[in-house]
Amino acid sequence: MRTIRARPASRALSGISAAIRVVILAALAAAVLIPLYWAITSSFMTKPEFVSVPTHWWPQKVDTSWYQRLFTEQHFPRYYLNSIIVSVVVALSVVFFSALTGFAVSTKYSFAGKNAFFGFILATMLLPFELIMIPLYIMMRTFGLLNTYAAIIIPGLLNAFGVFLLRQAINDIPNDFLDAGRIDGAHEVTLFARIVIPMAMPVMAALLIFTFVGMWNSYYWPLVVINSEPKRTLTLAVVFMQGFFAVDYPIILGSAVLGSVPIMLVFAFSQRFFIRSMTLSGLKG
Amino acid sequence: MTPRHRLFRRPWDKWGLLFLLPGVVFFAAIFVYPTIRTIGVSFTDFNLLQPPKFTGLANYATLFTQGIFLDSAKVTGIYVLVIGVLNYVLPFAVAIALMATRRFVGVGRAIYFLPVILPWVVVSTIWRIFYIAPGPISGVLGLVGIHYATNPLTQPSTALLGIMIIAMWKTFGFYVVLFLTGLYAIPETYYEVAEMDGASGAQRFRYVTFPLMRSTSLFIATVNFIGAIKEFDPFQVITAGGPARATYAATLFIYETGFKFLRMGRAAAASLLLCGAIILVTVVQFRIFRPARD
Repeated sequence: MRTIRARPASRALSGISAAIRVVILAALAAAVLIPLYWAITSSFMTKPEFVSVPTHWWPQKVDTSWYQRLFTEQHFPRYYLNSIIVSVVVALSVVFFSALTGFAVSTKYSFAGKNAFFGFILATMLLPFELIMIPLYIMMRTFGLLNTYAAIIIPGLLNAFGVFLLRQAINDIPNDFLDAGRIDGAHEVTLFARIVIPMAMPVMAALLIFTFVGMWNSYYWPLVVINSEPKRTLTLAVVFMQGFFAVDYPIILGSAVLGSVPIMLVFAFSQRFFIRSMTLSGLKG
Repeated sequence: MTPRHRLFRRPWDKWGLLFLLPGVVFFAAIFVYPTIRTIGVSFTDFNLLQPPKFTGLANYATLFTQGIFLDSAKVTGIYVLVIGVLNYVLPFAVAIALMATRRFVGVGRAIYFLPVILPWVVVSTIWRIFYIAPGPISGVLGLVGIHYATNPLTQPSTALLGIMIIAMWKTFGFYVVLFLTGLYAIPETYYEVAEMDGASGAQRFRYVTFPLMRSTSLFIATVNFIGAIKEFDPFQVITAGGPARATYAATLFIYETGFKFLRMGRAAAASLLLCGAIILVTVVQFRIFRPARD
């Protein structure tokens, strides 16, 4: 209902400007989609076809040999497994501990230092990872965790964003629900399990997807703590392929496509969810 | 405020503290302790193999006298300013255009958001090859009569611009979504009143949209600037800092100083300076966008 009726004299003009607007929006959409489309189709081309000028936008003959090589000569199944393990563990951990911590710092409890601690957690969102990276690396080395899943996972087990999100969601749960439980003699742990978690479930689901994607995409910290081939995550593998295959661009593009397929699927099935969790992040409090 | 005589006001409050325990332990171990340690390491000469040697402010002095760090800070500074401004103006304009073209909001948002969720590594890999000349860009630009013959990433003068274009491509959809959320929150009636008063499109933006988007703007400007300062993946993956250090960002300097040349002390000192820059930027932005008192 926002559309504001233009006065008759300017109606033709606004028609033109609306057309220009649509053209620009469509051009932007094309600019977003073309590189992705090109990367996918190119990964199905032979090398001679890929380098031919002018650029081919559809393979003459669909060639899947690059993908076969990535799955057999290279160890992409293994990299998938690695990425799935670290992303799933981190996502589950972040969701659970964010709910627990978010409950503790929510308006449902009051104790000295609560708000100060929450403020401190929020401040960590600002800080660059570099601030803690070197000591974290030294810690992982000291505990003999370099080149393990644990090294990738541990710093991701909980984060400020999750606590912030769940605190908001838990604040919105009416106090009466918890008080009714307390009058019935329910334990606080029971309240957490039976009231808080179910009622925060939509936000927890959004956080789960958000964290999974974030962990799947992460590169910097795995790069620091992993240098053994069998523990490589997909992002590390994609970058490694660039060095390994140098100018065999179609196979490198194929590795990039493989690196994003699971994310594309997650996005396709949960786009609304995902966008909501992103927008919840800042504008609601 | 009620005076607090005891730690807990109600019997169940002690459970709150108990629930907080894992969080406290985590943040102490993963943030507080390492931060303190980084500060300590920054005053030492430390290569991981021998015990750290205290050198006072030598690391900081080196950073400011050797040109490499200052050059990398300049690369980051230019990148942050350009991305910070463009990634505010473009998504704001796109969000307003989408609002005026309601039919496209859903599909537009989904398409623009697509690169946001892709791994930076994947985006970097695709674009590094997409830029080759002659290549796909020559084909597309050729349609409108533009001759594309040089890959910008290969020239020191244009490499950073090349990365900025990729960064815009990757991130602008995120801010479009945030702006859309803010725009949807503005009550319809404000625009109706403005129109009855005869306000033009520009005036409606100046006196209705813009002031009411203050808190959204603050949030977006902060996230955008800080995100740009922290950027690491594209610089490392697309150009590895080259050519001729034209894209050698501060984060890349820290990574290589620490993990390639094993100068942990100097890398720690640079990290703290980076952190200081982020705090400074945040404080400045809170001053610029602070809600007007009325």
